[in-house]
Amino acid sequence: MSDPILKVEDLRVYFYTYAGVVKAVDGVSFEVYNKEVFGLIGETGCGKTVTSRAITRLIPDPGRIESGRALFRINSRWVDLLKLPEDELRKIRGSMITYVFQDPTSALDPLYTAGYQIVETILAHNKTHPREAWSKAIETLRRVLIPEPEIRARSYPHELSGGMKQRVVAGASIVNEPRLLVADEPTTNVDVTIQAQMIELLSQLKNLKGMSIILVTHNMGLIAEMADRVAVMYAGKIVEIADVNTIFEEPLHPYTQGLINCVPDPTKELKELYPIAGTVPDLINPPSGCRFWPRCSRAMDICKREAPPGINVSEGHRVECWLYAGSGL
Amino acid sequence: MIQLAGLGRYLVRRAITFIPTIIGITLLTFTIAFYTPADPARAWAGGQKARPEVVEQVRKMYHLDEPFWTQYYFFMRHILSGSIYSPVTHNNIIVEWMQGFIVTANIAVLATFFTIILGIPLGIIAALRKDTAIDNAVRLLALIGYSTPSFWIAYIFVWIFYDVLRWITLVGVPIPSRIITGLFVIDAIILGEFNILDAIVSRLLLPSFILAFISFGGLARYVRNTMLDVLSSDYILYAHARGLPPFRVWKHALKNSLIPVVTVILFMFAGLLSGAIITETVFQLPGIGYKYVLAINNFDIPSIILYTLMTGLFIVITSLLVDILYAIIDPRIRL
Repeated sequence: MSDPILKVEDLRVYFYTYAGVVKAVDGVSFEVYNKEVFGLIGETGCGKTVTSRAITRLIPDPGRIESGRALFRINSRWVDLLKLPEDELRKIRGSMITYVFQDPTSALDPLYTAGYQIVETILAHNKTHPREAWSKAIETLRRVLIPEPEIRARSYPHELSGGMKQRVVAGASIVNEPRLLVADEPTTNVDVTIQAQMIELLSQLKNLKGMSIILVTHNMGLIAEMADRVAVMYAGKIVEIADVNTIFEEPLHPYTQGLINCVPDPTKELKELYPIAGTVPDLINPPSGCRFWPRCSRAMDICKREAPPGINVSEGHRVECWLYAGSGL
Repeated sequence: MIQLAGLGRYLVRRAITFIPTIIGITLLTFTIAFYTPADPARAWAGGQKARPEVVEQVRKMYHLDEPFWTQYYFFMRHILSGSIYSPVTHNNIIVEWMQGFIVTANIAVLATFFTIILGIPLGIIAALRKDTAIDNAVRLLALIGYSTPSFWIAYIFVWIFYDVLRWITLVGVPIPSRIITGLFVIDAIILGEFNILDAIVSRLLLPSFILAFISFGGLARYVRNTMLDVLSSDYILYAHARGLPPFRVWKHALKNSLIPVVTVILFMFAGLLSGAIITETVFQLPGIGYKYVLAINNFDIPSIILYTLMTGLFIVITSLLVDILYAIIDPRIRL
């Protein structure tokens, strides 16, 4: 299990806007292991999508990757994706590392059919005859549970439902059998029945193809269902990282605890939900010290002055919080 | 792609909506002419010195002594059947219009050609080099083009290229011996009449270029903004995420930018086909714009109605063309 295929180290992504420099991702480090589902959870605007896209440098203007490394293992050799020439990185995108984008409606080009856009993805990375690619595309659409794939392949995005578009995007992301799939909110835009199907599909793919998944979401339920390990992001930083059981059973960071208290537990009698007070901080002028202190019920003086160090509480469990600075380690 | 059966029905439906539009345009023009405080019969008969019996004869001939609707009906019937002669020039107004139209159409095609070959590449470059010196240069060019009065730039160019350099001519319109496509430049090349080609170029190139000069900057800015919108869209980012090679990403970007740009170009072309009044007047080119002003000065009501009618028709037909083109390019639109 502990056999990493991706190591992200001290990643920083800043957006240079007119209002100021938005430090969307500010020193994020994590590893993704082979054949695991790595959950990246956090509120809207905490930088989880930017983190997942920065791995293959999919950062549009005015964003810039300031520093960091994203080491990806290709045939037991480590390649830094952030330094790779654009042309070589292109060959990795869409074949070894693929994406399911958040909003399937805007991810598909409205002027081309669903089948065309999958065929295009195949042909970008394989020397195949277009006719073979077409039948492979239909096969893929069948695998992502699209009814009548021969007909749907000829449909334009506007002729497909939201759930179907989501599955077309999923199809395009698995057609080249990636080693790492980045699923960004794969269930947010689809209704509940499709959500269940999507989860089922992703788990199947993981087991069948032995790929790793980075699951970007704000949905705790989805994390509990699918993830093996979880990183909790807050205001551009990973505040806690651990395996999924530890996160749910013994969350250490007050923010993680808050997140879990926000979710009703169906096995227990519902008493009260505890929302986290306040809102996500402004990332142009983030709070001094720990970025969570203005919302933290256990904030101390040091929290306001200095950013907390990363503390390894136990094997694979790291937390950035002053509460644990003196404890044990 | 569009289904042909649907297209046929759509065309019929749209053609029916043409009728009220055209009636409205002609009615409005005629109403203005009708209520203008001047006596057309007297003007056509020769003005103040005209003999009363001649004025009366003209008045009878053009039904000017009859009520509003009868007059309107008379003008419209004869204009549509092509059997009315200008009371001022005594030529068939349809024939006159066509003679003007072929000149205007030649300038319009050349001007649109220049606008496109200057505007689109500049717009794309500006989009790719957003907020750099090149982008600002295109912005400045657009501003200069927009805000330069065409008569001023026309006179400046005439002074440089005619008075000083003697590169251009300002009299007559050279025409190839036979009309094949209707475009003088192409016809002259087909017929191998290079001395006429030379004459055509030195006569028509400059006015066409001036028309292009005042609009290519605007087109470039429009292309730039459309391009930037498309380039920042999710599907372009997703195309990158799928690892598509650059030319395939470009295919997505260009096809999506094409739709609004084609619309703007077509309407610009329709506008040019209605005649460039100022440019044609400065260059003394007998196109529609030139003749239009002449007709207004002479209070030539039938010609005024016809010219307005044709301009309206071009705009209506262009919007129809744009709709059909949209349906071909964009699968989301069904006619």
